[in-house]
Amino acid sequence: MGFGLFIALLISVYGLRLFYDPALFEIGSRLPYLPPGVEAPLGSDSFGRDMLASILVGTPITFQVGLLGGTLGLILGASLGLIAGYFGGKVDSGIRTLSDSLITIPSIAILLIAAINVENLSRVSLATIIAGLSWMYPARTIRAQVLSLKNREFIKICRANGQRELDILFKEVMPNLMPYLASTYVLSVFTTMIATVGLESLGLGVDDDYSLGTILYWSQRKAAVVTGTWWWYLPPIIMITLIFISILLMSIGLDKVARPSDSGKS
Amino acid sequence: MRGKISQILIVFVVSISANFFLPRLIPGDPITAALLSRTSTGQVVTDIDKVIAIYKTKYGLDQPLLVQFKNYLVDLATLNLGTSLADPPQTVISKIWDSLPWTFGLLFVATIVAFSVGSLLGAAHGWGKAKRLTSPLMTVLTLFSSIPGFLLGFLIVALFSQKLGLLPAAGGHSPTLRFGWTSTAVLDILKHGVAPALCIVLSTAGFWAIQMRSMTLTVKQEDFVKFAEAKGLSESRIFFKYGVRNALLPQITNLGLALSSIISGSVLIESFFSYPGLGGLLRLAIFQQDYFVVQGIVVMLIVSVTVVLLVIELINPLLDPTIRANS
Repeated sequence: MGFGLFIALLISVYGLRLFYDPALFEIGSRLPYLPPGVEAPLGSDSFGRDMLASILVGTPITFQVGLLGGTLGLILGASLGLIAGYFGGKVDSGIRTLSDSLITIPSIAILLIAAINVENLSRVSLATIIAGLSWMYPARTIRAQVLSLKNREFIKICRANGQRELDILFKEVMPNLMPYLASTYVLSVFTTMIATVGLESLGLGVDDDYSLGTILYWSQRKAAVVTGTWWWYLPPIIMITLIFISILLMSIGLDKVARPSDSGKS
Repeated sequence: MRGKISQILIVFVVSISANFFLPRLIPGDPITAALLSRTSTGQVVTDIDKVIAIYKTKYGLDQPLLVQFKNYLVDLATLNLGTSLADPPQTVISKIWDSLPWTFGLLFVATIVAFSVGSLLGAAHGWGKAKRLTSPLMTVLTLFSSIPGFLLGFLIVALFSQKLGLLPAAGGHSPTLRFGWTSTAVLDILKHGVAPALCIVLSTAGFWAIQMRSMTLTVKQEDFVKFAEAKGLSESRIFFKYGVRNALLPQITNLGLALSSIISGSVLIESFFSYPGLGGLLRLAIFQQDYFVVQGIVVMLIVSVTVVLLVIELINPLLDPTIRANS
């Protein structure tokens, strides 16, 4: 169900871009404060940006940062989790101390330091920073799984056959982790998106990007709620909510695939 | 327990150092940038080069990194966090000091409400007696907790302030309010706190409910619950004395784990409502490019998380006899 919703969202955003000119999101392409109507389906904001076009431009940007950050976070987290779980010992406790520290510090604090200090923040650097703050959760899950896999019979047989450690790690252990990787991937995309939207709504997003969070930032700055221009803040909120709900449903679904025995308990 | 505490202290040291080194690893000079952009936004600053030079010597930015680090630590220990760039005579620490009571008040009340509501609902749902009532509530709370809290802010303000006119849209008090322990002042502050508190509660209660539900499911299987049932104790007594009480203890530990994300979220919520706490101050500081205030807030966040974690670590043995016995 999550997948369905997610794909429906993607298709509707990209499909509508074919019929509706996304360039209308430029300032002054409509009269300011146009309520939703025939001319502009979702109205326009105080700068004369067409709202439907803004949503069509903003959603893919939010997606991009989320997917990029989630992917980087998963790669980082999964590799560290694999290493920590498989080799154990000092490496393991080092990685664990690092991840425990990062979990304790409010991520907004580090994001703020980064965002106010990096000039010309790009989408890639934003995603990288967020990935650097969100790899701990995949790392934890993967580490726990590796620990339980490590001492299974088939791994012992590989080792007795004299297979190289790295070979065992990537050819034998890794494939067994796939369901877990999928469900943690979805979660790390989720956390990246939450962090990006939060940062953007403070006006600290990527320069010159007009994403969903940026729309919210401007609607807040221009007091859209107080002036009653609901078509300014409601569409991005609905869009973000739909994205989040679809991701959440996906992760629940994947979780059931990954640990069928647990699904009754949790 | 000693290991836990020393770990928290290590985290504190690491993050305080990161706060110093991270900005310096990134090329560029924040003070020059902040002062220059001040002139570009139309503020009149005479002799900008001189001002920059004064700031640089004042903060010792021309000295080697380790000396700077030492100065930074000394400054932190003496709570000297610099002067606000936006309104110069005011120090950063006095600004933060003014905003702390607001944040603590709001966050404390909201977290306790969210914790109790969520835990009770989760326990009731896990116990499984009134499913028809609890499961729709669980679904709603889970959905709310999946979207960032400040998004709920838009909806709450639109509904309660715009449509119904019940609550003020922003701020922590009316602009004309005289502070004091009068009933008007207290009511005014409470009224302004309702909307942001509601946001925090709605966005975090689901988390507690989910955790509590799975704990209750575990406790329910325990032998002592079956024994209590066999003894013929009343249903409500078993639920509260045996079920809730035992499932609640791990929740306190969860509070420690969730703390950093709760604080991150509420900073954004406060900032949305322009609440006079740390979040509102942060929003203002970002608008005004008040570099030192932002950094001061970051330090404050790190310090408060550490303090709360230590407190949780210290009170946990008092609440849980088994931990007390082990240590």
